[in-house]
Amino acid sequence: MAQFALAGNPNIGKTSLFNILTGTYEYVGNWSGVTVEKKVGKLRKHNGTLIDLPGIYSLNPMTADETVVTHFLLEEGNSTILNIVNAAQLKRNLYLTIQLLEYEKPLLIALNMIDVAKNNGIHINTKKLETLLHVPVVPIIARTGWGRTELEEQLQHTADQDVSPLRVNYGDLEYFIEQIAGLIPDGHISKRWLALQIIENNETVISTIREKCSFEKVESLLIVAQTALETDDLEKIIRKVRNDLIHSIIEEIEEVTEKNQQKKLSTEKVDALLMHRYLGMPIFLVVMFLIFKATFDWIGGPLSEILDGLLSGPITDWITAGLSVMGASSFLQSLVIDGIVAGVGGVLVFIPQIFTLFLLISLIEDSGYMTRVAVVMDKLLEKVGLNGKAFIPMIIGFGCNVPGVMAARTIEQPKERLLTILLTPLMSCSARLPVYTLFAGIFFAANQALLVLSLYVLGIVVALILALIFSKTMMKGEPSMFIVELPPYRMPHMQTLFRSTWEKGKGFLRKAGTIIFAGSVMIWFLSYAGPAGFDVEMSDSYLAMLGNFLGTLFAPLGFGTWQAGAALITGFLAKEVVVSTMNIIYQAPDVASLQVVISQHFTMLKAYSFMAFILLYVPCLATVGVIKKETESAKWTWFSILYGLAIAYVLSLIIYQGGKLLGLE
Amino acid sequence: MHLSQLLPGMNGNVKSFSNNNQKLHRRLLDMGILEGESMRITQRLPFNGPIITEANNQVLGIRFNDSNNIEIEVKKCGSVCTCGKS
Repeated sequence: MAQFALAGNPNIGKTSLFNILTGTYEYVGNWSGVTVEKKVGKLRKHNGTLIDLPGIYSLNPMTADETVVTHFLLEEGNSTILNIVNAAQLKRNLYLTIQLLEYEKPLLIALNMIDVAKNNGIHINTKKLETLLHVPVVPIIARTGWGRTELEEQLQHTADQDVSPLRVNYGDLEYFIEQIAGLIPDGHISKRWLALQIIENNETVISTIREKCSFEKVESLLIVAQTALETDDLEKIIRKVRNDLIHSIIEEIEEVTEKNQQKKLSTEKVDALLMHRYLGMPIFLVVMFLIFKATFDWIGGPLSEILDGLLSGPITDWITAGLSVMGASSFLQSLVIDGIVAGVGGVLVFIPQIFTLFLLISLIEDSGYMTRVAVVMDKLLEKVGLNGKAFIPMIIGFGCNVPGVMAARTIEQPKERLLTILLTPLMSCSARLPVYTLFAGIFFAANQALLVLSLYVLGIVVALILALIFSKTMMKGEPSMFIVELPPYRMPHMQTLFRSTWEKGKGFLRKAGTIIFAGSVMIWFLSYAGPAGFDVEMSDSYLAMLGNFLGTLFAPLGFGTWQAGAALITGFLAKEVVVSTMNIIYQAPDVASLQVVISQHFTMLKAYSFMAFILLYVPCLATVGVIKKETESAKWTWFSILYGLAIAYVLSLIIYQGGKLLGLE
Repeated sequence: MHLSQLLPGMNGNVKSFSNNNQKLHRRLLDMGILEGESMRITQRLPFNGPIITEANNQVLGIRFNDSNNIEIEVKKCGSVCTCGKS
């Protein structure tokens, strides 16, 4: 089975191409770094797989996600490379192409966005490009699927063909390239490519080679080369040769006629508004507010009510009837109705809100607005020891913290990446929405969207303050920087948008079937059993005992009941389980009846204090797992749990006690 | 003149890069911003916030401090130019 690897610059339609070639869907977005991990799909037309690699500008990596590509090339030598190239930005794109050609494996170029290039007045002679680079070049438009058939045909051809590698002549450096290549032990990777990468100071390559050969000899050769060529920057020579070559290639194949200035100007006009000196930040807040308005009042809320009516009415009735027909025991009936239906059903009602939110976040990602927000936020984030790029993982975190933490890989400085990983869990994810919806519906019915916006802003503000404290006290910084490419605005592609929403929402449904299901069963069992045996009064159950202990601890925060305590323990599994737990312990089958019970146990102030606590207290189990994986440190993983608990306790205490002093109780 | 000193509408060619931040320099080179490349400022954010610039057929946002590392030779001014050179 043939294996293909898709490589190219960020933001040039790589993931779109992956989607049209593989049928199975992967996450697409219009900002650098959507593909933060190597993803594999099955090709539609061939018996083969396609690997989607993160976007890179060159093979010399600067961030964790770029390193993925270099590692891939070092480890897997038998892939055919599908190099996607932006026709409208040949000069920048061909630099990577040359590095990939030097890798000396079968390669094929997909020349994407030829429509955009044409609009910019750029005409490319693809036949001539093929001759100059010795590889096939297929023009495509990934967003519409134009050129797909030709590309699929060519893919198989290329995989079977012998390689006639492009050999760039580096002049005086050639002697040293050969000498260094001679020191590298035999393997499946081109020694010349390895030697070039070493001279380019590619640290990922160097650390791999260092283990395999006597690197001192290589190092002394490099010093000899520096003396001989009278420079301390050998990389510069390589760059110059490559850039001269690219220049001459472009001269031959590209013809530029009159540019269509219109598109460029409209992007500039939109930028002038969205990144306006004073309006940029307010516009972002208004966008977030509209998202919540749509999630609660316009789309998600009304649909959710219909679903709730269905679930708690006819569906529960059918299941009850079905169980008695089957003659199920009271134990089983209670398990299904009071445990699973109440617990899982109580969360499933929020599907409309969660999908609406995911749809709108996907829209922001795909439109190109995301990087503009990063620019608007950079100044503020610089002051707290981060950079604007850290805001992207945080916005992704509004959907779900797990991909948010992973998206931090696109940040160049290790310190800023670590800070972003630690603080992204403070972003209010969609799993916390059911909790807010439940409480907001009771105590803040008129201003749901505004209330939820206040919690999101609270999360952001706490994250910024902690970033400042952590970066000043615990982390040593290296020089910071911020440079980001602002892709052209693109009309979101409907199909892509819905698929991307589905991909994100699928995770929620899976969670409902696994963790929330298991959690509901566990909670029901703990509430059904007690020291006295089974089917005990709820207040004599094991769950009440557990909750009671925490309840005492939380009394100063305004929610000193065993029910709240129990809900917080189980909320660690997944934040939605807080709602499941309440459904089960308050024995309320639907949202409306649960709200009646809650209104007897909470006040407005207590509810806000409880919501703030849920927002901040600990990352959920899945997020803790991904923090461990990304930081590779048990210490920082524990830190993320403990600082969350501490800050949540202090803040809820201030909210509740402060509110009481102000007479809000 | 540093890139950070240019006003919106002005453009010029990259003359040199300072060696203060190697990573930044490399990223700029990777993005095809070489010596001699033309850069045009389209926007500036307040309080010395990022500078929006167009170079090599792409739009970039660069932090003010980072743009201090890019030496520009101003070629010609746009209509809103107040730099006094032409």
